[in-house]
Amino acid sequence: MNAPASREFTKGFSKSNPVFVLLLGLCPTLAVSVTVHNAVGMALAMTFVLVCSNVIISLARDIIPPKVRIPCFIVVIATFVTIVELVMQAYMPPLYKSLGIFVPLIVVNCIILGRAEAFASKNAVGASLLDGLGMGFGFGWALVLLATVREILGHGTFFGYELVPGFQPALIMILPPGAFLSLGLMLGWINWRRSRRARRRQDTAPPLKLE
Amino acid sequence: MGIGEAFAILISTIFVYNFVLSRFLGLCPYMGVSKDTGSAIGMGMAVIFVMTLASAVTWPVYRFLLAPSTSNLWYQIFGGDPASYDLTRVLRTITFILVIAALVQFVEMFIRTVSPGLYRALGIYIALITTNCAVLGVAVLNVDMFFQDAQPVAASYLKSVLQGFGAGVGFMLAMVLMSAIRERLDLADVPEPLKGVPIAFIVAGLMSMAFLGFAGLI
Amino acid sequence: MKAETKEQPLVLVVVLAVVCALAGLALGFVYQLTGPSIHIQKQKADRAALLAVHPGASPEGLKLVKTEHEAHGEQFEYHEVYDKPLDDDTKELIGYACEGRAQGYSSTIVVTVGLSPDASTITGIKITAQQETPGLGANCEEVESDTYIWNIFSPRAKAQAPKPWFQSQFSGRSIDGLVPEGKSYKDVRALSGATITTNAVVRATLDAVETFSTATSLGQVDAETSATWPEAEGGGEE
Repeated sequence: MNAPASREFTKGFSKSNPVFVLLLGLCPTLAVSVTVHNAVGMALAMTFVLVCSNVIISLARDIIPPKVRIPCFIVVIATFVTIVELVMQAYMPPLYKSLGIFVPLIVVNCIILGRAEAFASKNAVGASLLDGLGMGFGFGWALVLLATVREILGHGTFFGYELVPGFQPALIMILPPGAFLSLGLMLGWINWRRSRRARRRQDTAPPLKLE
Repeated sequence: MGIGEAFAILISTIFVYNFVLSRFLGLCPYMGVSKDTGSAIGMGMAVIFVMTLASAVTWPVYRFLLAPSTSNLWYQIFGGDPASYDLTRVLRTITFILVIAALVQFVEMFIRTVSPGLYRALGIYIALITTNCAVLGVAVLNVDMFFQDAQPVAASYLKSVLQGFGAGVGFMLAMVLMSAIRERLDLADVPEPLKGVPIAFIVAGLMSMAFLGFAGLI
Repeated sequence: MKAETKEQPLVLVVVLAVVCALAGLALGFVYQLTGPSIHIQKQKADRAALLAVHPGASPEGLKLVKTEHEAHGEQFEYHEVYDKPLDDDTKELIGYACEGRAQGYSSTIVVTVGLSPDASTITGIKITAQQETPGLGANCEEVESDTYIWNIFSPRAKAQAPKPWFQSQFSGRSIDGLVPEGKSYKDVRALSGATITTNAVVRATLDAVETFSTATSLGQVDAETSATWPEAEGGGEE
């Protein structure tokens, strides 16, 4: 089952990238991408919650009645989010402080509830696990990309290390406007790449539009 | 808590720390529903209602069920040392999200029975707000900012509800502004790759820059 | 389970209750494991702040003193800081430490202030909590780093201790030396573009000094010593 399995994993990176294509999980993406360090921490936390909740929900998918599935999903997801919160407070307090309210807000991250509803509740454990990993890493990849741009331009550092001596960073990049602008331009660039590829293939791939 | 402090909280949550443009909360519905002003206003009203109600309900839950103090219900039932009933770390997230989800369900049912007209206007949006990070976000922010053991209870509660209300108003303000711009953007000559979501984000960035100008207001 | 059984209200409630119960068990288990660590982290942070404002202090020479106002029972605390462990009879008091708060731009700024034994001079301040604007107010905790990315592995990079320039300007100041000047304070090097945060840090420092003088004028209620704190792991933490 190799080809389909690996596709479950890789689709999270480009084809169904939760941030760039599905436009889910925008709140933490913009808020946490101030430094690469924070981005990596958040991505790992999110992936952990996503994988664990996907697995549990997939295991219980025949037992949970459809009428109470959303509350059940929420309880499962919230449990894992709280576990992440406790572990972070116990062993990584500076990371917990810099991620702030976005750690408990992982519970309402549309990606997790979306995957639980759309995939984990309908597929086997193995596929759900891979789906969770793929989506989580896709999210992490998008987050780190955005954070790299913002940290280099806004702080002059990468992962806390100075890059160019005497570089005066553009403060706006680490403030909210910088986040919106960076993401908007990045999405525009992705659109442009897609339409160029489509033009070459003579397809019609419509640009991202929110319906 | 004087009128000055109340005013300061409202100004700060509506303008200075606008929940969407400064705190990045509630972006998914913000981008999704702000395409036309009518639905933006509808969504905004629903958000104000839900956020105020959520703040009003989660704060007492936190105080009487989770926080370690002499008014903690578990302490009053089981006795012992009040400081040992500290459930804040473990149960805060689960309790808040379940309370908010249940609250929104009840509100929806209530509106549907009492006023079908209102339900037709707002009902669909209310369902969208349940898992909105803005609602859980404001609940968590309230207890982080205003729940200190030394503070008088009534003032702390009022501040939380006021912040919930202000956050909703700020959200609606940002959405209505965005919808007005987007309606005109649809007719403007935008470069092809930027059409749709990318230009919306760029506009949000410019709006966020404008709102930065409110810094130092309070 | 058959489809129709699934829809019955009792089944719904039971399933939800079971899920919640399992969640509760899982959380309780994890909290048992992590709870003590969380407590230790808080104590480590407190201890690090105290050691930062009194460089010559001994980690076992910290004593928390609680005092209470007789009339309305409001409690105050401060620390006595010694240069040797508390059970050592040759220890000397090298100063006090107290916490102060003030509303900053976007958060409450919490500062630990170290005072000399005669409580007339500030030995240093350490900002323990702030959520100010990154790049502006948050620079109050900024440490000027000289580590460039290509120096990561060089020994010179490791030898440089980071210097929090904003906080260290308060070391050695007399408590009467923080004089208001217009909207800000005299002789205080401000953070560029963040006067609100700058003034808030000064106000928090003054609040700590005031809390200390209030606390020492009241009756002592309780005392906690760092001798009962768990061992700090590793060396310094930042």
